[in-house]
Parts: sequence; structure tokens; C-alpha cells
Amino acid sequence: MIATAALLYLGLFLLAGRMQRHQTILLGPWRDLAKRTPMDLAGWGILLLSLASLARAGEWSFAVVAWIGLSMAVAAVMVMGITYRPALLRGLALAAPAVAIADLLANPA
Amino acid sequence: MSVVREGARQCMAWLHGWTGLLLGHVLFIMSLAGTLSLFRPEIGRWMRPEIQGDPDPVRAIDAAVAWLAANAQPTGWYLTAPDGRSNSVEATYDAGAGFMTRALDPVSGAPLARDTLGGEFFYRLHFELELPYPWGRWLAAIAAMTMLVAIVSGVIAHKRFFKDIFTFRPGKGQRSWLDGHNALGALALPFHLMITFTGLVTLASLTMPWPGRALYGDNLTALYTDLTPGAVTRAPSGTAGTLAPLTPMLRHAQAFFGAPIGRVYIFNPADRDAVVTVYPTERQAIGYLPAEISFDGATGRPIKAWKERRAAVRAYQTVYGLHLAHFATPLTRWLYALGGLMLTGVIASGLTLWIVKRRERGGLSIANQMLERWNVGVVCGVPIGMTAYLLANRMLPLGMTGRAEAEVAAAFWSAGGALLVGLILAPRRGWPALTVALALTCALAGMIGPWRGDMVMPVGNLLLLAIAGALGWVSLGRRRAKTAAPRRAMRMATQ
Repeated sequence: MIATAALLYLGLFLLAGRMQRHQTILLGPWRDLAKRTPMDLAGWGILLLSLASLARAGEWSFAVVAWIGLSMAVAAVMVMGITYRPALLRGLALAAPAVAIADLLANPA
Repeated sequence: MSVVREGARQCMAWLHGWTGLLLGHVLFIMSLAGTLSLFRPEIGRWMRPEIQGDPDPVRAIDAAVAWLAANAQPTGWYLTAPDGRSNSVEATYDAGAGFMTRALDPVSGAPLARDTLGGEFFYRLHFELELPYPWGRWLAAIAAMTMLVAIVSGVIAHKRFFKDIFTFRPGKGQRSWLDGHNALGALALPFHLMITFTGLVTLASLTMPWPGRALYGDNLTALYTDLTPGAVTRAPSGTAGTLAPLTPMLRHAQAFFGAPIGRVYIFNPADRDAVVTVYPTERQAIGYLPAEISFDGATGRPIKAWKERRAAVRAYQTVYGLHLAHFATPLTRWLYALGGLMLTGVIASGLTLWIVKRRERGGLSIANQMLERWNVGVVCGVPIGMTAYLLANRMLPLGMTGRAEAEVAAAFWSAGGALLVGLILAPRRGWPALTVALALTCALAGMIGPWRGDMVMPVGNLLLLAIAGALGWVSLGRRRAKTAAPRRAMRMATQ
């Protein structure tokens, strides 16, 4: 569940960071490196991975329901963060891959 | 081409506005009550602090049946066992004045002195709106259809659905309200669609009876038998009989389901041909009612055991179960609650947006001024009524006659009073006055409740206090912003 949330966060961060409007806030000096298509692919791919990470433990039906709910919660954090706490979002984006990998290693299905 | 597309979008925006407005207040009530219904057993526990701990379901049913045998008419007893979330036996029975539903003590089997509907009130309010059958359900079904139209037309009318998805620009009047409305709607769109559609499905047999009518005519018994082949219907013999001990039957059922028992129905309990039907708990799969087993009441021998395997029925049950969310783990349940709150927020912000948009275009018509006051009254009054219900649960004397009804009356009188205040006061005074009133009722309900016992007691109290705190913070923040604005304007004027 933690890995799923972390991956969801990372995926949404990439998708938001690829948007013109949020690029400066989310990517800062790295915004020029952000190529639209690779970032799109990475973002959506990581979102799919997050769904898979949730489904590996149990039933798909439960996983899909929980994932939709979780995506909603993480996206809400993203929207509020872009408006009120952009620095926190950048920090979380750096931490997210580490958290996801740590949780996946700690709880292999 | 693009002219056509723009025209279509404007049509959809018009449709979105009017469908949202038409039943917006009803949808607000349904959405908020539905969100609370997710915690129906927990609310019931909080409202019945006399029962603590989690009783064994089999022993609780045994105790309830022993009490019913001595005190209720032997027509039929319909029991729901405690399941680790609820901890009382919910029983529907006839004690001489028609059927009624009461929570029974899991140890003594007797109804509680603190007679209350508990979370059931919110659940019923969610789809019956306290109106007589079938009008409440019809209104709920029509509102849900309107909601579905509003969601779909809203997505089409939204010019830059994906571009704006992460955008919220505060402090800019209409722009901010629109951003908030869009964000709440778009981010939880899968949830909104799911909950609205599955909600419609739960009422489909009411709104669309024709398939059943076409296949079965008026023979509803045949329809019912086909739908649940495991059901046993047996007429009473007329000869008196005694019920065999229930515990072996319930244990047998548990072994058959491979899951704890959920509901236990006892038909004609004082007759030789009594039937005991047991259903499993709903907490094992998304599907609703997956199995049942019936016993001969006099001997305790199983008559019929059945598990649902038909794909079409399972699909229907899955859709139904997805709406009720009885299967949900605590985390999934809280995510449902988040979705429900976001939906409530979409509706409330949509209603506000209607007004803000028209005011910024220059002046409100009389009808829109009225609507603005209705918004204040409903958006604040409904939660005030709900909190008053919780407050009445704590304050009404135990054992008074009609106590459960008095709690509901308290909810409606306070909601009605708040609505009246909202209609009378100018909105710029009405909003803060009612927000503060809601904060105060929440704080009071959270403070006077007992704190000791199961987790649900302190958690419920703390949640109420947190809501009170958040509301207080919001209304204080608004006041500060309002007093700061003129000062800033003055400073700019003097410079």
C-alpha cells in the first residue's frame, strides 16, 4: 500500500510536471530536460506499475477499487501542494522512489 | 466543425448547470448522509456506549433469540449478528404493535434503554430521505439520474479537463470556485461515476420493473425463487413446536460458508415447521448475499444449502456491493469517505458557483437571491441537523418512550431551524452565523460523550472536535480576511 501510494505520487508528479503551467514550480531548473513524450510515458507507466503493485498481494477487484480511491487522495495532495506547498512536493518526489523500492523489498508478495 | 463543438459545449454547460441546480440540495443531503452511512456500524457503536467489546456472533444471536422467544410475537424474527464492526444484534420483530427494528444487547438479548436508530438513520436518509415508501426512493433515484447527467455533461462542458486537472488558484472569486469545483470533480471522477451508477442500480428494480414484469408478470414469488434458489418458504403447519438450540445450526452454517454468520432469519419460530435461514457476513467479498443455508427449526437439520455461482447474478451483486462497500478494509472505507466528501464538496461548490457567477456578471435576480439563502440554509442546516441527532442521543433521558423518534425529531427541528435562519439572515451574515453554530454543536457533541471504552468512542469524539476546530478556523479566517481587506484598501487610499 505504501509502495502504491509512493508510485502513484511519482506518476502524478511526472504528469503534472510535464504540463506547461506547473513545470517551473515542480521541476525548477530541470524543466528544460523534461521532454514531453518520455515524461508522459514514464508518468503513465509508473501509474500502471502502482496499480500492479497493489494487485500483486491480493485480488484484482479489491485492488482496482482501492487504487481508484488512493489515486484520488494522492491527486488531492498534489493539487493542494502545487498551490500551497510546492517545495514539499519536490522533496516528496525525491523521496517517493526510495520509499516505493524500500516497501517493495520489505514486503515481497 | 469547431462552431458545432462550441455549440455542443454550451448546451452541455447549460444542461450541467440546470441539472445540478434542480436537485442540488437533495443531492447534497444524499451525498453527506451516504458518506456517513459508510460508518453505519461505527456510528451505531458510538451512539450505544453501554455496549463495549466485540461479542461472539453466535452467542449474541442465541441471547437475542432467547429474549425474543419470551417477548416478541412468533411471526418472524430478522436478526443481523454483530460482525466486529457493529457490536449489537440488530433485530426486526413484532412486539405486539407491528414490526419494528431495535438494537438488542448481545449478552442479555433485551433492547437497550438508550433506544436509538444509530447509523441506520443516515443510511435510511441517504436513499429514502425520510419520505414514505416509495416516494423517498423515487426522489433519490431521480436525483441520482440527474447526478449522472450532471457528471457527464460537466465533463463535456469542461473546456480543458486534463490541462486544468491539477490547478487551484485561490483568492480569485469565481475563478477559485470554478477551480475547486473542477478539481473536486475531476480528481475523483471515477469514484463519482461509480457511486452514482451503482447507486442507480440499487434502485433499479423500483425504477425499471419492466424486465421482471415481462418475464414473470405479477408472479413475484417465481421471480424471487429464481433469483435466490436457496430460499426456503414453508407455510406454518398450525401445530405448535419449539425451536431446537441455535448454536449447532449457526456453527454448521459458519463451517458451510467458511466465513462468520451475518444475518439470521427465523420464520414462524413457535411453529413445528419453523425455518431458520442463515446468511454469511458481507465482509468477505465485494458481492452482496453470496450464499444461504436453511435449517428445519424443530430438529435443526439443514434443509437446503446454496452458494451463488451464476455470473449474471454475481455481476449484479458485485455492482450492488461496490456501492454499499461492506467489503471494504478500513483504508478503502476511508478512501470511500474521502470520495463521498469530495462529491459533497462538488455539489456544494457547484451550488455556490451558480450564485457567484451570476453575481459577478452583475446583480442577482430575486430568484437567485432566494437560492443563495437556500444554499446557506441547506449546506449548513443539514450537517447541523445531523450533529443535533448525535447530541440528542447523549442528552435525552434513557428509557423515555419514543426515544429513537425523538432523536430524529431533534435532527429535523434543528435542520429546519437552521434553514429558517439561513433564509432570514443576509447570506454574508448567514454563512458565518451558521458555520459557527455548526462548529459549536460539533464541539458539544464531541465533548459530552463518554471517552472510555472501545477505540470508536475517543475517535468519534476527536473527529467531532476536529470538525469543530476546522470550521472555527475557517470562519475566523474569513473574518480576519474581511477585516484586513478594508484596512488594506484604506492604506492604499491614503498613500
